[in-house]
Amino acid sequence: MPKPLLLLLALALCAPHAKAEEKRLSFANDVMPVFFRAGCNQGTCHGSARGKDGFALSLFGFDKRGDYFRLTQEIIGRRINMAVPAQSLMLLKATGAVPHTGGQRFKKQSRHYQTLKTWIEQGALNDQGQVPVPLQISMTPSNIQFAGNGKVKQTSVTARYSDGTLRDVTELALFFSNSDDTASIDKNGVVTSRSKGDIYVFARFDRFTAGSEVIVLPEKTDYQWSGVKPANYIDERVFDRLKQLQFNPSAISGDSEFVRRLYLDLAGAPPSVEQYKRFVADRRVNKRALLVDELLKHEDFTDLWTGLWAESVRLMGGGYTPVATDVKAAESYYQWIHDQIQQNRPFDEFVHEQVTASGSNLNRGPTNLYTMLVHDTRFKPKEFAADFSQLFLGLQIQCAECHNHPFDRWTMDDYYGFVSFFTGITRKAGAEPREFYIYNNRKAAPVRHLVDGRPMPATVIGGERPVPRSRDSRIALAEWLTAPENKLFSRNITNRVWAHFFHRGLVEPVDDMRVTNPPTNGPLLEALSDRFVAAGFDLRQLIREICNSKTYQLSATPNATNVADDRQFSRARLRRLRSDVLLDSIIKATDWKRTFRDFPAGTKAIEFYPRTPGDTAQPLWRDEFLKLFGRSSRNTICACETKGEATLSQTLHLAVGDNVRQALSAGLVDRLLASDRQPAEIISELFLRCLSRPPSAEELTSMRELVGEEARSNKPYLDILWALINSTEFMTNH
Amino acid sequence: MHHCRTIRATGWITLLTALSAQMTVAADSKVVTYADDVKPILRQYCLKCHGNDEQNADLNLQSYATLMAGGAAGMVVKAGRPQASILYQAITNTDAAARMPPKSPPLPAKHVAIISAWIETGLRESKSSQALRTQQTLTFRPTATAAQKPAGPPAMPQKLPPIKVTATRRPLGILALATSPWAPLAAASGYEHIRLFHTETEQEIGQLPYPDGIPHVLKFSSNGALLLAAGGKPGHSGSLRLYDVRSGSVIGKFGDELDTVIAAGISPDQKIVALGGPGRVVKAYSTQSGKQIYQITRHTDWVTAIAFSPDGKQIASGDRAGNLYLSSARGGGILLSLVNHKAAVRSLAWRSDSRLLASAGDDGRLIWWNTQTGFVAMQNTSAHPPTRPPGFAGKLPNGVLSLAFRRDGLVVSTGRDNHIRTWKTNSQQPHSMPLSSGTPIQVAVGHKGKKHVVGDSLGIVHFWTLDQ
Repeated sequence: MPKPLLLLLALALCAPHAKAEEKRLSFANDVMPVFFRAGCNQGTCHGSARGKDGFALSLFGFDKRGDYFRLTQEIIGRRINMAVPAQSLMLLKATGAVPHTGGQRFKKQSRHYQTLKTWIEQGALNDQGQVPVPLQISMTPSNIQFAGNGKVKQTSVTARYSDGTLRDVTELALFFSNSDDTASIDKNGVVTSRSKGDIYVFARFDRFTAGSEVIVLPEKTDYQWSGVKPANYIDERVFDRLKQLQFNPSAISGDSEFVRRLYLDLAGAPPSVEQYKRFVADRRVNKRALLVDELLKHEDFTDLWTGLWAESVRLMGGGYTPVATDVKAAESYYQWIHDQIQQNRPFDEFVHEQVTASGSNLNRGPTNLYTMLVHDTRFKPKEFAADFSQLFLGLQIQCAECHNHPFDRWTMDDYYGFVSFFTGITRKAGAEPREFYIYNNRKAAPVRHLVDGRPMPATVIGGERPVPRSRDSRIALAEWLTAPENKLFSRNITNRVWAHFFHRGLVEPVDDMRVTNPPTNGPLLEALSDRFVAAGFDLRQLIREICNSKTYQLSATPNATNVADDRQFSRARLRRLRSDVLLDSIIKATDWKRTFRDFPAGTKAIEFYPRTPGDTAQPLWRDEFLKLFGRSSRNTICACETKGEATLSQTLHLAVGDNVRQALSAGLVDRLLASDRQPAEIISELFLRCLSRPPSAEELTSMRELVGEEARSNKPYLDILWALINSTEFMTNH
Repeated sequence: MHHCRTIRATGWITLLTALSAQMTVAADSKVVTYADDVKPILRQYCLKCHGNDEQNADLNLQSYATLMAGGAAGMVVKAGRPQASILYQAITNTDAAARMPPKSPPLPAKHVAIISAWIETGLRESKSSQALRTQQTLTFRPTATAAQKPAGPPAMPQKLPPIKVTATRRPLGILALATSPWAPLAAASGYEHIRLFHTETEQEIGQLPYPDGIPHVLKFSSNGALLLAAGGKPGHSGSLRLYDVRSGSVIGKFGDELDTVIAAGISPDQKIVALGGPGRVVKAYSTQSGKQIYQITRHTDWVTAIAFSPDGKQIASGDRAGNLYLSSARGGGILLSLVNHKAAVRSLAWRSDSRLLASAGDDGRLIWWNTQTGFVAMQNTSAHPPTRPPGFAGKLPNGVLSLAFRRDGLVVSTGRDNHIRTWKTNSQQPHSMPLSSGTPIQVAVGHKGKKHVVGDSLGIVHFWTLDQ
């Protein structure tokens, strides 16, 4: 053979080989993703805090340095065999060649096996210096629509790295669906439609999760949009969504239904007979909008929203002074909140002032954010940071104390950087035992990172560099938190407000916002949040827009298309009344003069909060009725502390309990009898007081029969009132 | 012909000579037996949960006798009827949730076929009773003076037969290293073999085959005549062998573990060998009968170090959780619990008078124990302190990897800081020297106490003479 030809042949043979050798695999970017994909480092396997069967990896790979050590150095020669790479225990276990509790994770012919083996052949080296890190992943397509069941669609996942490169990581990602019944996704990212519905499928890679929306509609449909016109931007977004999912909204509610709903939601009790009659008799076309405006100005609105906010910041007063939550401190905080709501203080300022507050807990109300959010004898920065983010941002970042958040993008760096905002919060003893001065000691050391002990100076969640130390770091925190561009904040607040009116947040639960828990109507949440910000964080304006929408005013009666809808707001939901609103409703309907423990006469249930001679660091109700009907114990920050479920004890209590007995004997029926009203008028009055509607002809006839000859005895009327209070119609907002 | 007749008449096999037995095997190679064909399959898939260490459903498949005894569901095999045998049903069940082994693909068809054939052909234990070779046949009777300095010249290998060494991509790290107490001889681990070095010439002078896999422990007997090698294949098998140093022949094989043996020792009188590993149990065998004579079950994690005291009375064993026990070498009863290590014990060494035991581990501690009282006589809590990279604030691995007692009472140690250090019992460090190649996994001291041998993770054996 001529020499040049031989040379050429040799080159041709060598070239691909040499090229394959060239690329040195990265531990962080090539090897670790295989552990992630194969499930090695998940919580039930080697990612468990104590490892599994003697071998530990960090959960989802948050500690790459530690993982490298445990793999290659902890027991040299065992997991990695540099002499004969294929005999490495890691490979033998993963392929099931030796007994492995986790079974076979991948096959010897797979690309994952090749990656790990090649890395060992190259010397099982750790990365030197900086390696590119993933910054973001995206899943395509971001919207998938299926007509009919059993259809499939391949998704793909792309990661963007810090060096600007893009890499297809579909083979290394993990996939899951939030409802396999509607559409499932397999381990290769193929989505299959199963039944009608709208859900999300997700891909996870590194510490990121990305989702695609999947809508499954029937293959054939005779659906037609009902043609209802939107009243405002809220309706536009809701109706768009309903059209897309082939629902039609229910009819608009009648006046009785509307007036009761609005009073309960804005004033915390049903309308009085007079309020009811005035509204029904009103002939103006915009009377609903006028009533909304009227109620927004009313003192009852301020009391309701003060009560709601006080509950969410765990406002309580106690006699055990070391906890710094004295009754006087609680009263000063309550009064301050009340004043802000009354003045319609822009919500950003309202929050800003609390976050940056310093001074006496007894005299400066807003400083009590730092005594009430976590009730304890010492200020606890970690607990406070977790509660703070859950309340103001709807984020549960406490997972990231021990490992990167498994279902969101937050890292341990985010967590510890955020905690450091609060490491300097100090309670200095004041002039008397009940008093504490709250301030931020700027010289306090930041917390240290759990994995490597690095000091983590105060950094906002998702921030790239620490805030300047030249002033109180809480100012920077408050500015970031309430900035118009911080959508975490505005979305959280608007979502919580929305949940008050619809008994369901656009994100549910309201205090668990994360990538893997997307809103049921994303554009609507965006629009609400943007309008709220544009209107200068005006709480009343946001509520006005919600109450004036047709969406809010829909009837609870379903139509043929929307029976199955439980989260797109195509009809009103039956909502059980909050315990305090229920109690105030009973009080208002029966003219009962009920008193509350440690509060002056005339206090409403919504204004009542626990005051105790003892310690506030425990579940407290201080009222048996409110406890029984699911009021928050204020023992944790969780929105789930307020319970909406019906219980047997509640039914029994309403039927035979003290509160209803006392309410009935408060004298309403006797007073009505003392006037010269006819039995039918009295019955009608009782209906209007309790249910905000007159009795139907049928109801009236049967009630009239019940009263019969004993028309002047209070017994039958008390029975009617009892029955009304015990009706589902009374106990719900509809 | 006599041989031919016996081949046909299998009942005569017991009468065969060794040669004819081999011929029988060769001619009758289709016979499927528990020992040769079935057990390797069971070992790969079943013994972790149905073996000597764990008996799920009360079933132990690790020996022929226990397999035949069955488990909670009764007999698992019926001779001649695979379809009626629970064992066969379990591995062939079409319902993945009910099939064995759990959460795994089904056994390959060829393995299922072997088990089926084995049941079909009558559940034979081995090819013949002649071939029924267990460890027990590989035993020996140590001399009465085994623990003492040899009377004649100390044992050195004599004309070892050349062996075929498996080609590897890189040398195996020196996971195990030992020096003869009386001869200029060091042994170091290689892949499926043992490397022997002359400590004076520092040359590799021969190899011994180690077909069990990777040797994780090498130790010479007190008189230098025997070499103990223990190890195996990770996640698969583990055992211990004894070699005659002069001839290189294997004179004993002990243990049948489901994972590599990580720790092992031989008593000075050569009557007992002990081994341990991921099974968390120290098992001691009589070298004369081959039978297990006791086990130490107090360890809560992998057994990582074992050492018999020079006076032969005690056995020290340490584990990965930092537990360290002194037990009676004769019966295995716990004498003392030595409590101070916070992480894995990596290495143990006795001073020649048996009064001091040195231990070291991944917590960075080097501890001298008073073995009479069980108290710490001396300790250094950071014997091999790691160097902190700039800007790194967290915890760094801070381990002592190996230690050895010199005849003059000094301790020599290596650690993850890539240093070799010597220690007096007052914690002074006469020597401290950085090593520039791989991680120094093992250290040993030559028979005259001058030559220090260090084995590193790159498979290199270093020799140092430290100035006094």
